[in-house]
Amino acid sequence: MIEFRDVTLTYQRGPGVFDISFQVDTGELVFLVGPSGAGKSTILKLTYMDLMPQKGEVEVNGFLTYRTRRRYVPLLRRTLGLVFQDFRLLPDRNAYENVAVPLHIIGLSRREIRERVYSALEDVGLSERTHHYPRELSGGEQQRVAIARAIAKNPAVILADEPTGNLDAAIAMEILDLLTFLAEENGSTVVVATHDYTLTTRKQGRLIEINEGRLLD
Amino acid sequence: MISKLSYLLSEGIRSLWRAKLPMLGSTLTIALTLLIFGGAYVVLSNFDRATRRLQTQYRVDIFFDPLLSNQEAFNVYQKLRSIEGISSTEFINKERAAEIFKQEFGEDVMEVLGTNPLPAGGIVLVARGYRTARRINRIADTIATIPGVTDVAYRGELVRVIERYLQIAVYGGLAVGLIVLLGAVFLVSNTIKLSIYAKRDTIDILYLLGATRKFIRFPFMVEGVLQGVLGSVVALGVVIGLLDIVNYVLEQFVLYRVIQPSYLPGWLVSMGIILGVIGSSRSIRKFLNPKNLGTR
Repeated sequence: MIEFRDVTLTYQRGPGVFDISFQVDTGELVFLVGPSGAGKSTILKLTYMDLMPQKGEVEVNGFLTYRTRRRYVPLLRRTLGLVFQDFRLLPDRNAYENVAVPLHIIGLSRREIRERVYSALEDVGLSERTHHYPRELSGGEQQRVAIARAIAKNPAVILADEPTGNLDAAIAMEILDLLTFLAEENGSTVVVATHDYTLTTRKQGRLIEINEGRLLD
Repeated sequence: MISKLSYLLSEGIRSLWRAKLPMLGSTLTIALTLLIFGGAYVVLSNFDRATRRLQTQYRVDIFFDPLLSNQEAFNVYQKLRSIEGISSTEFINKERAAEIFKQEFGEDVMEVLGTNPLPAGGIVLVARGYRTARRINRIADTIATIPGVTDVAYRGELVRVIERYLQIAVYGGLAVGLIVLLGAVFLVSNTIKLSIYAKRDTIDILYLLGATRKFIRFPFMVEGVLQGVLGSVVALGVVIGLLDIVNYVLEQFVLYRVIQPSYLPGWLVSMGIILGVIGSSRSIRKFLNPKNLGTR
């Protein structure tokens, strides 16, 4: 569950987000839509507590911004699956190792990690490419690895920041279908930030529109 | 927990292998630093050994009144033993004094003079903690005040020279060592910082995925330890090689061998590990600052 209550965060060099309030319930699919620079990434960063609000509060999976100290932020992030536009894969690790990293962080046994990684890579259709490095994979395949990495730990919430931004239209649709399908199967809450309205028309999900740092009614 | 620990250990080893070039730079920097330290350690311990060989210089010769008989002189000699700072004493009776005279000058005083005018005497060795010019002087002065002692002789000037050079060597060594150590920590942490800088994206991603700072730091520490061990092995090899060369050259001219101190390997490896760990922790600290994490 995610809740923003009157959240404001402004940057020194420009606007941020102002008086943002919304709630995302467990298992819900939400599209956070708006043009570039509208504040979508800021909202996601506030959600995974990379940024903290100057005013108001954010609650994510029981973690409250005003009560969560920096050193406990990693504990929140272990309950989240993050997917980024630029994939954020570790370049010197193959697909298997990339998917395994968050599972090592949680401290699962090697056997459990092996099972979950192979299962996640199979789910995203990459079971034949487990030992390929990111540079040996296409953009779509890299994003599939990132989705497998996010899904493998069965997160309560998946946050995707422009997950299709670097992909062509056909692959973008495929990736969005995969992400939403796996999240639904897993019972995870999903928030997808995108500037592409056409993507949102293809999926049954709630739309939250943002422009110039403010939510539109 | 064990699974996580073994993962982090293997990450440290693998990350060393993945970044071979920066690793080579840091390892060589550590090796070079330890080479300087190891060399200085060998020089200082050999200097210490050489000065210990000169311990016969910390000897005081005592001459008793020539009018005293052997027995009377021995009675006076007994008083020497109670003086503080003396490790051993030896009594030289008149006959032994004549023998020594003959050994040194080739003349038998009994044959030349018909009588033995040489006084009985004593040799006193100064205990280890008292081997400074000031303390030896004080011991000699005390001996000189004992009735029946007519003369006290010791090589005071030589003792003072040894003392002075030893002091210069120790203080100089300490000062140079401190400067080299500070320079080494700076150099090593800067070299390691360069290799960590290349991994800052990895650090960010790990933090985004929920890794704690401890989790991120651990493999870098393992890397630091390994670089330290590798660097010290290289330095040790070079020091031993150089010692062999120096000894080979020395053998051609003098009967003296430069020895390898027995603690050298352990000392160099420990120093290497300390340098590697300090270097790593200093470098990673900046990248693990919460202000710098994730938001780059």
